[in-house]
Amino acid sequence: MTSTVTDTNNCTITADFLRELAAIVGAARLLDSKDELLVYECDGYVVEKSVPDVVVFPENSDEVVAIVRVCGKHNIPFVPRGAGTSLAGGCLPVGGGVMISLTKMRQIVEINLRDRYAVVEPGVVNVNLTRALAGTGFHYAPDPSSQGACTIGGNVATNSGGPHTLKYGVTVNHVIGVEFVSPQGELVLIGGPCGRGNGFDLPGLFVGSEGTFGIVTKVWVRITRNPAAYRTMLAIFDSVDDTTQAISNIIGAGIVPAALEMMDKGIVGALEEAFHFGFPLDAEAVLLIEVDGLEVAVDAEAETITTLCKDSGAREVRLSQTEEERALLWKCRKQAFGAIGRLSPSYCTQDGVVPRTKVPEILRFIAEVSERHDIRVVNVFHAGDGNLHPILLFDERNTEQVKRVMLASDEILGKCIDLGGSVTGEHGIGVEKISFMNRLFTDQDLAVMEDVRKAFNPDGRCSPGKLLPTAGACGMEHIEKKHPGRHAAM
Amino acid sequence: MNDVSTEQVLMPASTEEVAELLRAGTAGNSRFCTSRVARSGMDSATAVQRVDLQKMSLIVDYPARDMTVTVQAGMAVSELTGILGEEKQQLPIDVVDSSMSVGALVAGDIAGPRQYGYGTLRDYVIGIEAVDGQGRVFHAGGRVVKNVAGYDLCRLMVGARGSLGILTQVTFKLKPLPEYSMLRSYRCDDAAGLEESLDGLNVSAASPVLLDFDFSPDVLARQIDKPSAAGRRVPYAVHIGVEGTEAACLWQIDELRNECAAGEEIDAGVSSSVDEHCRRAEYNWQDDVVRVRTLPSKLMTVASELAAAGYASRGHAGNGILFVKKEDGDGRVRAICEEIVSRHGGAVSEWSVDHPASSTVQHSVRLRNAFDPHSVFAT
Amino acid sequence: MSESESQSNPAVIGQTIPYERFLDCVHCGLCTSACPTYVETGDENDSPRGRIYLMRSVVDGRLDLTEKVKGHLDLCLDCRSCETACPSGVQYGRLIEPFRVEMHETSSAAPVSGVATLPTKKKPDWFHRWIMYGLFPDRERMAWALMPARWMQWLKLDRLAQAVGLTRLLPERLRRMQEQLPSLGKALPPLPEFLPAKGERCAKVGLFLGCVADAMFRRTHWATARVLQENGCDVVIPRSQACCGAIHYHSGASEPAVELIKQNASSFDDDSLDAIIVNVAGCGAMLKDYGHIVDEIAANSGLDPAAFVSRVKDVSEFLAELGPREPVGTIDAVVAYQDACHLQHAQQIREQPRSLLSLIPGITLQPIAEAELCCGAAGSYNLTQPDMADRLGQRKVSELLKVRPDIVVTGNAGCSLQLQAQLKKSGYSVPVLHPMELLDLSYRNVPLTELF
Ligand SMILES: Cc1cc2nc3c(=O)[nH]c(=O)nc-3n(C[C@H](O)[C@H](O)[C@H](O)COP(=O)(O)OP(=O)(O)OC[C@H]3O[C@@H](n4cnc5c(N)ncnc54)[C@H](O)[C@@H]3O)c2cc1C
Ligand SMILES: Cc1cc2nc3c(=O)[nH]c(=O)nc-3n(C[C@H](O)[C@H](O)[C@H](O)COP(=O)(O)OP(=O)(O)OC[C@H]3O[C@@H](n4cnc5c(N)ncnc54)[C@H](O)[C@@H]3O)c2cc1C
Ligand code: SF4
Ligand code: SF4
Repeated sequence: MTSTVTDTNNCTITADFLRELAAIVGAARLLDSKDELLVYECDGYVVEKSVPDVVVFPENSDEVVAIVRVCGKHNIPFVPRGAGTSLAGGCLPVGGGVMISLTKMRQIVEINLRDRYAVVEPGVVNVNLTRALAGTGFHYAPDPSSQGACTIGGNVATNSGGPHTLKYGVTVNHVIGVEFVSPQGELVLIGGPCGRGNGFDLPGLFVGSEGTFGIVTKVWVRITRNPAAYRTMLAIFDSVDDTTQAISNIIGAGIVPAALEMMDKGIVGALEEAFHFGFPLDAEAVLLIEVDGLEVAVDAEAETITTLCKDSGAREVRLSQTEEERALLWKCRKQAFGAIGRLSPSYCTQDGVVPRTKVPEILRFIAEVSERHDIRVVNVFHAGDGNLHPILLFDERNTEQVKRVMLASDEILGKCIDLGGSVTGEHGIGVEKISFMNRLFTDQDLAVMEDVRKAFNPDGRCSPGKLLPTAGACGMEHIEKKHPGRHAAM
Repeated sequence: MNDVSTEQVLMPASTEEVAELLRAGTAGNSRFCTSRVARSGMDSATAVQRVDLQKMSLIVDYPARDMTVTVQAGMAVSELTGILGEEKQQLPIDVVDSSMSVGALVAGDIAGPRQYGYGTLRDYVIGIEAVDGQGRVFHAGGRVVKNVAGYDLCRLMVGARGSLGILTQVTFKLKPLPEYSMLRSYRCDDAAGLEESLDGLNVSAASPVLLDFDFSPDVLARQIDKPSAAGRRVPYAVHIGVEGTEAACLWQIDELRNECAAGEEIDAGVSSSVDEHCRRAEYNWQDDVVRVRTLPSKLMTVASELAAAGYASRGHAGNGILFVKKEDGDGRVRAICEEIVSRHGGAVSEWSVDHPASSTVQHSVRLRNAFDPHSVFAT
Repeated sequence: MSESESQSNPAVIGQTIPYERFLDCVHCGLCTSACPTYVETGDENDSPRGRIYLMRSVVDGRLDLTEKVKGHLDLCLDCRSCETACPSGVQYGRLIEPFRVEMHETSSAAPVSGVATLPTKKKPDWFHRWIMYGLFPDRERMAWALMPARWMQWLKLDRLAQAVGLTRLLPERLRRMQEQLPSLGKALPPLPEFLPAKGERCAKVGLFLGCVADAMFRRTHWATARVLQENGCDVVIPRSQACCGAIHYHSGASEPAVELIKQNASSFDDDSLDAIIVNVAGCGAMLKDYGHIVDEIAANSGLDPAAFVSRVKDVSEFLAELGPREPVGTIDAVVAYQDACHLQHAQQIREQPRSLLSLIPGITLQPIAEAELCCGAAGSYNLTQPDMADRLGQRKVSELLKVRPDIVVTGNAGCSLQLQAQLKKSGYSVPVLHPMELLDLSYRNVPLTELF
C-alpha cells in the first residue's frame, strides 16, 4: 500500500534518556528496538506513518508523571496511545519521540451504584465497564462501534459517540472528572464525583482534546440506568428519498429514539450475504430504529414511528419479535464495515455531519458525486444525528481511481460544511482532517484555540501535529497525503 | 446589592460592534461588565462600562425539525421559551426569573430541579459565538448535534460568567415539550424514612425528571417557611416530578408511590405542577443561599449534620445538591458547610463569592489569561 | 537454541502465503482486546493486528525476522479468538500457521554479502524429536509411557516426589508435563471396534479417539460412546485411525502431518457413516481444517479429504442437531463451563454444549467473565511458553472460582489438563469434566461420586 512515512524524525534520543526511562518502568516495559517499534507506526488510520523512538508502558500515574518529566528534561515529544483504533491518526507520533501506551493501566477503580458513577483507569476497554456492570441494572452509555476494543482514555480524548448517543449523549455528557498528567509533568485533577466545583468546566473542555492537553490517568464517568424496555424496528423503503423523509419526520415529530440508523442497498446486500438476516435485497434503504424507556411508553412510540414510516412511503416495518432477532440486527449494524470486504478490496470512510433535515440533500449530493467520479459509494450511518459515514469503494492498486476517491471525499466533506455541518462527528481531527480546520474555522477561531492549547501544552511537545493546523513543532509539513484510508469504521 | 456604577450602558447591535468596543476598551484601558447587578467584592477602582445585548435579541436560525435553535445572546429567556413553545419544543433548563438573557443563562450555567432528568446546559449548548478580551470574535461547535472538530470551547463558556468573553450567539439542542407532567410530594416521618425513600427511588424503574427534598426538623420550622405556611408544614418531604405521555406519567407515579412507601402523599399546595415547582425560588439557587454539592449517598448525613448545627436545608436529592439559607450577617453558615463537606466530600458555593474568575485552579487562571490578558472583563 | 540465532532471509519466509490474506486486515484493531496475550502484556506486538503487521512487514522486506519478532509470533496461542472478533473476516489461523511452519522449518545462514542462501531444514531439538513427535502422536506408546506415572500417582509417590523436590531434577519441560498430568485413576480397557445403538436406531457414527486423549481420557471416550448409544447411534471405532496431526502441523513437521491426514481419511472412508464424532475440540478443529491444510502443505499430493471433512462433527454439535433424548439422573451442582478455543473460535460452537448441560436435572450453569479468553493450554503451548500459559491459567482460574463452581466443564483434553493443573496450583480441587461425562452419568442415573 502506498502510504507516507514521516522520516523527519527530529528528536534526539540519547542513551541517558533511555536509561532514565528504563529506571522508571524497567526494561520489560520499554520497547526501543526497531523490530518492536514498527507496529506502533500507525493506528486505525494507515495512510500516514511515523515510528516512535520509544514505547513505554506505565502502570500507574506516578510512572506517567516521571516519564513526562524525563521527556521534558530532554525536550522529547510524546504521545499517548490507548487501543490504537483512532481513525484519524490520533496516535501518530509526529516527529518521533516517546509513545506512552496506557494499556497496562486498566483497573476499574471504583463502581458506585448509589451515586451513579465509576472510576476507571484510561486503559479500561469500553465494553469491559459495561460488562463489569452486568446484573446491576446500570451500564456505561457511550457505545462506539469499536467499543469491544477501544479504551475509555481514547474515548475521552476523542469524545466518542455511537448509535445510542442520539438519546444518551456522547462521551462528554458522561465524563464528570479527569485526572491527567500535564505536559509539564504535574498530576492534575479536574472535576470529580461531586462535579466541577466553582471553576470553569475543565473536564468539558478536556474531553475531545485528542491527547493535546496531557495524559489521562483516571476518569470519573457517569453510569446510566438500563432502560426498562425497548422495541427495535426495521423499516424497509423503496427509495432513498422516502427514507430520509421518514428520518426527518420522526425527529420532527418530537420523538427521540434511542437509535436511528440508516443502511442503503449496497450495505444491506453485503450484510445479507454475511449474516443471512433476511433483509429484502430489492429495498433501496432500511432504517434500524430503537426506542427505549418505560414498558408503558415504548409500544405507543413504536406505533407512532411505524405510522410515520409508512406515511413516508415505507413498504414494511418489522418489529423484532425476539431478543435473538434484536441482537442479530444490532450485530449486523455494528459489524457492517466488516462486510464491506465482500464488496471491494479497499474502502474509505468519511465522518461528516449535517443538520438532520439536510440528510436528504447530502445523500442526493453523495449519489451525484459518486456518479460523476465513477466511484461506488455505500452508506451506513447515524441518521438521527445527521452523522454520515459514506463509504467509498475502490481498488488501491488503481492509482487513478484512488485520486478520484480523494476528490470525491473532499467534495462530500466540503458539502457538509456548506450545509452547516462539520467534517467529523465522532472520529476526530487527528492528523487526517487537519487540512479542513481552516475551512471550518476562521483564523481568529484557530488563534483562540491555539491559545487554549498553550494554556495546557505550552511548548507543544504533547501530541504534536494534531487537531490544530498550527499545533506542534515538528514534521507535519512533510506529511503529504497520497492515499485515502482503508477504514473499517463507523 | 448595588447597581453597577456605570457611566453609560453600551448597547452594541452586532457581534462586530461588541468586538469593536472591546478592542477599543483594550486600547483605552476600560473595563466591561455583562452583569445586570454588581457582585459584592467587585473592585470599582476603574470605571466599569456595562454591556447590554438587548439590541441583539433575534432568532438567527430555528430549523425546528432539526430540533436546534441559534439565537442571539441578548434575547430574554422568556421570549425564547415562547418561540420554542409554538413548535412544542423546549430548552429544558429551569429559571426563576425568565427575564434574564440567553447569554446570562448560559454564562451563569443556570440549573434547577429538572437537571436530575435533563442534565444541565453543558448538555444543550452545541455552538457558540463570542468575543474575547482582545476583541477576537471566535466560534466553537456548530449547528449540528454531533461534532468533534476543534476544542470544545462551548463547555468552557458555559458557567464562565462573562470572564472569558461576551457571548453573542448560542446554538442549543432542543427537546420536545412533554405531553403531560405530574408532580407529587410525599411526607416522611423522620430523616430515616426520607433516606429510605431516596434509596428506593434510586433504583426505581420510573425515571422522574426531578427529585427534590425538604429537611427541616420542627425546631427549625421558622427558618424555612413563611408563617402563613405553618399549617401545612412538612419537616421531611420528597417532591417527584414525571413527564411524558399521560399513561407513562400515571404509571410512574404509581410505581413511585409504592417505592416511597415510607412517605405519605401530601397536597403540596402552591407547587402542584412540575412547572410551578421548577420556578419556585426555594428550589433554585438564589442569593443569600449557600449551595452544597455532595454525593447523593451523603446527602442525608450532610442534611442531618446541618440540622444539628441549626440549619434547615432543601434541594435536589437526586443530584446531591443542598441549599442552606444564610444567616443574616456573620457568615457562619459557610464555615459550617465547609467543615461538613471536608468530612464527607463535596463543594460549597455562593453565587456572589465563588465566581469562576476567582478560581485559583492553575488551568483556570491560565485560561483566563489567554482569553482576557488585559483584564477588561469586570466580574 | 543456537540454530535460530541466525538471521533468516526475509525474502523467503511467508512468500507462500497468498498476499490477499494480509490485505484482508484493515488494521482497525477490533481484535486486540479479544487476544489473550495482548490482554496480558498490553503490547501491540502481542496482538493479532500487531502479529499480522509483523508477518506482513517481514514478507514485504521491511523487517528482518529477528529473535524478538519470532518471540512475539511464537507467543501466539493460535486460539483464534481474533477470528471471532474480526469483522473483516481475516483468516488469522491461515496466516500464522503457515508462517510459523516456515519459520520453524527454515533456518538459513545469514545472507553473505547480500546473496540469499537457500533455506535449509533445521533439525528438531530433542524435545520435539522424542516427546512431541515420538510419544504424543502414538496412542499405544502414550499409554505405555503413562504407566509409571499412573503407578506413581496411585501409590501417591508423585506427591512425595514433588514434596521433596525430586521432580525439580527433571528438565523444565518434562516437569511441566508431569505437573500437567491429571489424576489418571485406573486404566480403562480400550474401546471396542463397534458399539450398538440403544432403542430406536437413528444414526451410524464413527468415533475419533486422538492420541493424548485416548491415553489420558479414555473415561471420556467411554462416556461419549455411551451417550451416543443412548441417543440411538451405532458407534464405529476404527482401529487404524491415528493422531489428528495438529502437533506436527503446528510445529512445522508437515510430512508426518500429511501422513496422518491420509491415514485418518482412509480409516473413516465409509459412506455409511452419518458423522465422524470428535470429543476433543483441538482434534475436531484440526480435522475440519484438513482441506485447507492439504491445500497448503500438500497441494499436489492428490489427497482430497473433502468427504472426510464434511462429516466431522463435535459431539455436542452433533447431538444438538440430532435432538438429544432427555437425561434423567439429577446432578445437583453449580457448573462453570469453560469454552475451549478450538470449539468456540475455531468451530464457532458455543451454545450447543451449554444447552446439553442445561438438560441435566439439577445443574445450574453459571456464566463466567472473559469466557472468550484462552485458558493458556493451547496444545503444546503449555510446554513451550510456560510463563504465559501460567499467567493465562491463573487468570482463568480466578474467573472460574468467582462463581464458586462445584464442577468445571470443558470440551477439550488440553484445556482440561491445564485447568486441573492450574486449579491444583491455586490450592483448589474442583473436578474438571467433559460435558459427555456429566451427560453419561445422568443418562445412566448414577451419582457423581462414581467418577472419583
Ligand atoms: C471499526 C471502528 C469503529 C469505530 N466506531 C466508532 C464510533 O462508533 N464512534 C466513535 O466515536 N469512534 C469510533 N471509532 C474510532 C475510535 O474507536 C475512537 O476514536 C476511540 O475512542 C479510540 O479509542 P482508543 O483507545 O483506540 O484510542 P487511540 O486510538 O489509542 O487514541 C485516540 C486518541 O486519543 C489519544 N489518547 C488515547 N489514550 C489517551 C490518554 N490516556 N490520555 C490522553 N489521550 C489519549 C491518542 O493520543 C489519540 O489522539 C471506530 C474505530 C474503528 C476502528
Ligand atoms: C445563585 C444566584 C444568586 C443570585 N444572587 C443575586 C443577587 O445577589 N442579587 C440579585 O439581584 N440577583 C441575584 N441573582 C439573580 C440574578 O442576578 C439574575 O436573576 C440572573 O442570574 C441573571 O439575570 P441577568 O440577565 O440579570 O444576568 P446577569 O446578572 O446580567 O448575568 C449573569 C452572569 O452572566 C454573565 N453574562 C450575562 N450576559 C452575558 C453574555 N452575553 N456573555 C457572557 N456573559 C454574560 C454576567 O457577566 C454574569 O456573570 C442570583 C441568581 C443566582 C442563580
Ligand atoms: S485482524 Fe481483523 S479485527 Fe484485527 S485489525 Fe485486522 S481487520 Fe481489524
Ligand atoms: S490466535 Fe489467539 S493468541 Fe494468537 S493472535 Fe489470535 S487471539 Fe491472539
